[in-house]
Amino acid sequence: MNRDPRRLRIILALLVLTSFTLISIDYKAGKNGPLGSVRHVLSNIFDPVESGLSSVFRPIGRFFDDQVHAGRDGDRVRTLQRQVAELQSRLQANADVTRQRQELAQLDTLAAGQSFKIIPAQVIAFGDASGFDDTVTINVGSADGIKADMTVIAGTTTGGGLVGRVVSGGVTRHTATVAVIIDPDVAVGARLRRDAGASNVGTASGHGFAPMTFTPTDPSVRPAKGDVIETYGTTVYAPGIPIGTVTSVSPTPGRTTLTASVKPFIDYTALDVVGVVVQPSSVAPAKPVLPTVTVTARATVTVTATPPPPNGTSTGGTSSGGASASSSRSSSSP
Amino acid sequence: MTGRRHVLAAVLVITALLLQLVLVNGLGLPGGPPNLVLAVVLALALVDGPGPGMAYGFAGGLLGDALSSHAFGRLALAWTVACYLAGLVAPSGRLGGRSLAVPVAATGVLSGLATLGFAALAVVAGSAHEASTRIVVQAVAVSIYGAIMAPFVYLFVRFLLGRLEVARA
Repeated sequence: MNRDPRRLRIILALLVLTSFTLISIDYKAGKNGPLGSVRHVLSNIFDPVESGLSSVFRPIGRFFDDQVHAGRDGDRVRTLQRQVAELQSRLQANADVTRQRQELAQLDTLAAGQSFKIIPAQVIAFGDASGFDDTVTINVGSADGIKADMTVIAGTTTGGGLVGRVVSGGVTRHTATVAVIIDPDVAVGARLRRDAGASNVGTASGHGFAPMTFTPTDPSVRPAKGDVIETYGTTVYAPGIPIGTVTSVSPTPGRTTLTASVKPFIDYTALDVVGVVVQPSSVAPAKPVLPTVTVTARATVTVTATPPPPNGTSTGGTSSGGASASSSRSSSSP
Repeated sequence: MTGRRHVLAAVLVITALLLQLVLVNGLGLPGGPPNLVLAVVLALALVDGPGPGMAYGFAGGLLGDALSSHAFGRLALAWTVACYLAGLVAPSGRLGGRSLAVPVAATGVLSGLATLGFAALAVVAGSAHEASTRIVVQAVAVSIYGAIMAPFVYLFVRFLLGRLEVARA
């Protein structure tokens, strides 16, 4: 092989230049450029393989993930480790089935509560080779009626919540890529669930493995520890889906608003069964919530007749269901 | 002979990539996922030297870029440079001694640097920046996991490429 250092350096420079060119072409042309189609073709080849491999490797990964997470809970470690040692692989498989069934049941409850029509799917791959990509690949695609920007939810053994949305350009025939809410690129229109007034809206943003944050648009809104954050209902995310709970609140640097740290209900690396919302609340989208909500809003502060802006979107079908679950907590809004 | 070598390298990289996506990224390890693909291309570069190393890094990076949602070329660029450097550290692909210190150190340091480089290229690519804490934490994690994996990955790759030579002789 070639060992002339000058020649090597020239090749290195050429490869670096090529990379830069690719980066700029991809940046300029975006999803529909020539590189986009290369990407599409390759996903079409790789995704089925991933799908097959994942059925083999997921139980292993699941087992491992359980160990890692158990370690976070100090005291339980030893108990769990002993149990795990006893249980062996057959019971592990058994637990997998039980857990999956619980998750499915919760997913079902979640979807039924919001009267969503969902298509269940399984996670077959996580992220990319850089380690910075907070996406999952699921085993349903355009052939199953999946389209870009559809909302994805998941059940967990304790409840469930928002996973993310199907990314545009990430849908192949039998697979789809989902941007998970912890992705720094993702911002979700969200609100505090406790009193579903329109002034409670804000933005929930991901920060990778660090906790998510929720920043209310209105400085007078004070999120408190334990508050549940849910989707507000935008063109992308279906309304009324729980996102996470507030764990701490701190001032936003340089702003008058508060920023809340939010622990998402879903656990990225533990995602397994998910549901793609193919039809957000089929039941009377505009009717249910708005009356009750605006009434309370008007009653408190007349000036807060600000609802118009957010109103335009389909606030409607939102949290009448959610309200029954957790709202009737008397909050301290002025 | 180089043809078969390239085929073997391609098979190794593709296998590593599939394992990365299906298994490793979902393990939920503290700090972030280890980078198996990067460890494999670095091992290839450490065995075969800077010339072929660059090619493996570039090709592996491009494949990684293709199966992702970030701009094409970011991994390719970071990994090409990392593999070139790895190849330089192990001249002629045969380390003087039997010591694994060089591959371990090189994989650890270079995989961390490649991760930082990849993250830095977000600026060029115009995509959203990761929080700087995450970049640092993840680069350190990749570096540590890389060093831990290095002996196994390196010996495995060297063994396979060595077998090829034997088979030819």
